[in-house]
Amino acid sequence: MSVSDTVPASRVMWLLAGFIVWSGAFVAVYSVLSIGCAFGWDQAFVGPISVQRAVLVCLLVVSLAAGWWVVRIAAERREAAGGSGLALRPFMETAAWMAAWAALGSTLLSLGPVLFLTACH
Amino acid sequence: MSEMRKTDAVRLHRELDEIWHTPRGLPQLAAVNHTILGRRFIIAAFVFFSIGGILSMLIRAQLATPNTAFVGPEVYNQFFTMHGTVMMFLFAIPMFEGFAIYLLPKLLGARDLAFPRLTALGFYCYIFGGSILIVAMLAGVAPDSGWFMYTPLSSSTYTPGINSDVWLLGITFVEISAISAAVEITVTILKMRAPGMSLDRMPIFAWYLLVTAGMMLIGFPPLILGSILLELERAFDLPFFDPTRGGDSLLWQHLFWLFGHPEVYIIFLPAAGAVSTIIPVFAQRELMGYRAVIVAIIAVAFLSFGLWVHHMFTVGIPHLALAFFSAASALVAIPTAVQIFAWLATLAHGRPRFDVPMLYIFGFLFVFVLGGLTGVMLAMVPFNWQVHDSYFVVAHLHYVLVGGFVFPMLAAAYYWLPHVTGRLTMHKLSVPAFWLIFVGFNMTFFMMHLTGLRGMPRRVHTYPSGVGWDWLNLLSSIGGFILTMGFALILIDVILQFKFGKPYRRNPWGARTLEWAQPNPPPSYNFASLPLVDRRGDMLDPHEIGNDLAAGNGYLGFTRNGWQETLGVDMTTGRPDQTIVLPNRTFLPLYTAIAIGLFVLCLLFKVYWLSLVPLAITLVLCLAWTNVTGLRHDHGELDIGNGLTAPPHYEADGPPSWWGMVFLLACNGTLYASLIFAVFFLWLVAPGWPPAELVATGLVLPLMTAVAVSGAAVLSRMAVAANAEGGGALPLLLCAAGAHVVTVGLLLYLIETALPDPTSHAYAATAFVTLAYTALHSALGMVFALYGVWRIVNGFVSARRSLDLRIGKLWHDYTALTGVVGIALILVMPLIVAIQGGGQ
Repeated sequence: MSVSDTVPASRVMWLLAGFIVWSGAFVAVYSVLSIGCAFGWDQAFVGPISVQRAVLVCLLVVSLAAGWWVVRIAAERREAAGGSGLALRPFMETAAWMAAWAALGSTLLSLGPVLFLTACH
Repeated sequence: MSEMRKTDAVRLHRELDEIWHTPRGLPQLAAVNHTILGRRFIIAAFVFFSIGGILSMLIRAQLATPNTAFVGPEVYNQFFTMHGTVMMFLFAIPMFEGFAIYLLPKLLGARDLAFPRLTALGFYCYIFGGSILIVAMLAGVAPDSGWFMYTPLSSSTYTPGINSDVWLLGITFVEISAISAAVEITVTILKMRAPGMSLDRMPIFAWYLLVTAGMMLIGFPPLILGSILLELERAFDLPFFDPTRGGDSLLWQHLFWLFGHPEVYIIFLPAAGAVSTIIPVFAQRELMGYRAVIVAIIAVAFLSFGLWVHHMFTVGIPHLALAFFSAASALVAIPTAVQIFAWLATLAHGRPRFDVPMLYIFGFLFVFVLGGLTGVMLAMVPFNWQVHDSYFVVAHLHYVLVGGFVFPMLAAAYYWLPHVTGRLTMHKLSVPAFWLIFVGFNMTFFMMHLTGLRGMPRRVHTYPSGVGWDWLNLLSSIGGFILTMGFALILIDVILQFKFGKPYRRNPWGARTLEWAQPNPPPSYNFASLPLVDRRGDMLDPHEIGNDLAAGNGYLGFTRNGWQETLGVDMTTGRPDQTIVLPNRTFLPLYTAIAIGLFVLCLLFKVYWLSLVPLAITLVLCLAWTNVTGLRHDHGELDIGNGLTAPPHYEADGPPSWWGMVFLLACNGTLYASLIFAVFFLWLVAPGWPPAELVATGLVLPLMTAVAVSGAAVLSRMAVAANAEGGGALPLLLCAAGAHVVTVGLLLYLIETALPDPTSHAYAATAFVTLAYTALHSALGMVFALYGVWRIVNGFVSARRSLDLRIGKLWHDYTALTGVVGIALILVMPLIVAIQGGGQ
């Protein structure tokens, strides 16, 4: 049997981890936007910015931090697995690392508008 | 056993065929073989495609000239609704399912799919559900509210007949087929690959199908929930979408497009998988960027769930939310482009040779890229507003769907048809057919960009003369008829290939995937013995492997006990970890589908009390499926050949049926999450909140219910643990069944006494559905627990053979989790509503 690596099935989830963070961030930001608009958070202010924007920006920062954490873990695992080798473990770890970067970029681009667009109009 | 293994290839073939083949005549209705059912799916999908095509011709005949009196608006509404419905639900998805069902085990080196009887059930549900729609159309009561069934148009106020019910019930019936196929594909890919085929050695097509099936498990439930809610509104006046009673028609749009946009990629990705398989064969080199393509597929899958609102840009959503969906809609073009560049790079770095499949691949690239470009245009909110509901959108969606699915599927048809027929393509008609389709398609739909930009709205049965749409519509109609001629030529070409094609033995294209290691047409058992895969699954040598496998030199190159055997493997490494014994042919899937069909018809004709009869029959038939599963004594490790052993799957840790339940519950969980979304959406957005009357349950009864439903799960876990230690599971399971009875009783009491009238307000209606959901699951939990008892009593369960109990445990755990969440929701909602009366 030509099986060079033992990789637990749970490791497959790391392929999805970055985008699971993206999904969570997307749902959270969209939900909080809807709740904030319903409760008038855009009319209440904390210093120069509305409560709505403050909460959304916080969520974006948390999402990016979570995405970055996944990227870091994926990078460490990739390095430990032997870089870009073609056996199962390096293959999985490198793919997970690439997916984590793609997800982090997606989070920034799709949720970045919370930084500058009006919230509830 | 060892003597059996020495038998020659012909004898082995006869012995295997004796076990696996399906005789002609009546037993064909009992067929569960994936080759047979895959072919049937494809043929049926093509028949529905023809029906959809005829409808499109009628539409084009109507619109060819202004002020046409060919059909009136009522009939025209049925035409375009049925055209969209048939093409999306009865052609595209089932055609992909058919390809997957036919190809997947062959591509992976298995003898069949994970759940052959489920394949058959899915097929019959598809046929019966589709037939309900077609018969309704012939009777003049077809759905007529558009393929997306927007409320309030599809609600009983504006569509009082059964037209909308036909869609809601018929499509939900068909979706049983889609969900069963998704579970089947997922489990098969993860657990039934050839030994040694680790994840990094999977052929790229398998990655595409795996991701697509995963998307179906998450993407279809919102629509199923929406259909159930709308049917409940139409049948029992529960006002989920009625804005006068706390409902909101936008809830339907959200639920529909939560399904509807991923659906586009669910259709596209398998076709892209075919492209990724075909191009390397004709480029004569492996696919460039295999790993990047896998990451791109995963990215597409996730991003496609963040775009649904771009179908709703004009409904009045805040600009910031529009920006999220606009950005995600544009973003999805990037991973799609990664795939396109990988294909181009493969061609650029290979030694491309031309053949008919490549002609259709060219058509795909041309048309799909154009559709993608207009897709990016539509992702931009200001442009989207300008062309919303115009013919520009019709042009775009046809470029994407025909470009992204029909052209690749035609390439796939010409590529794999020799596999099905055992004959080579004639090529006489396929080339002119391509040009007719290519020219006809562009003539039809390119013009629609222009009519759309000139302001022609969708879904109008006629239009006035002299507004600049006349000649464009005429050209579209002429193009449509040219397109149809192309498809007619393809049909003739395929028939000619079946009758007069030149027979061949193996691998006419010089492909490097496992399905070409079989003799063609393929034998009933697929492979006389199963291969060891020691490199990537699309870099193999089918000639060499084929001869070796036919001689029985692989795994399971023998027969045993008349069992239909194939191998199960570790998910990631591909190391064999179980011998899977598959069920033989049976009429049960047919009978079960008939029973479900009768249930659907009872609902359709509103004889609800009578519907309980086929429902009960369905439950009994489902239990009857288990008659032939399981073993009455432990077998331990079984010889699988080449010095390896593996236990029968009933004694393995993660057999296919266990994983099947995991994925089914994941799908079910998405439906439940969609229900919770609906509750909060209505609270936040719908008019008419807060409701006049709130749920008044007190704390005691809900807490008792939560304890009862959780207790059932705990007892079930204790039963599994006790069984692992050698016995004592039976009384615990009986107690678990009792806990479910108590749960159901308490929930019914709560529904009866503590809920406001569910027809009074959407709040009460959603509370009713939330509690009814748990009651239904708990009732089925009782069945699972009693089934476990029955299996123990009949000797199917031992410390090694605990599969029945472990599957039940999954159900009990799920029921407890969703039950507790549901009860918490019921308790919390009155508090939330009291804090703030929704968004109004």
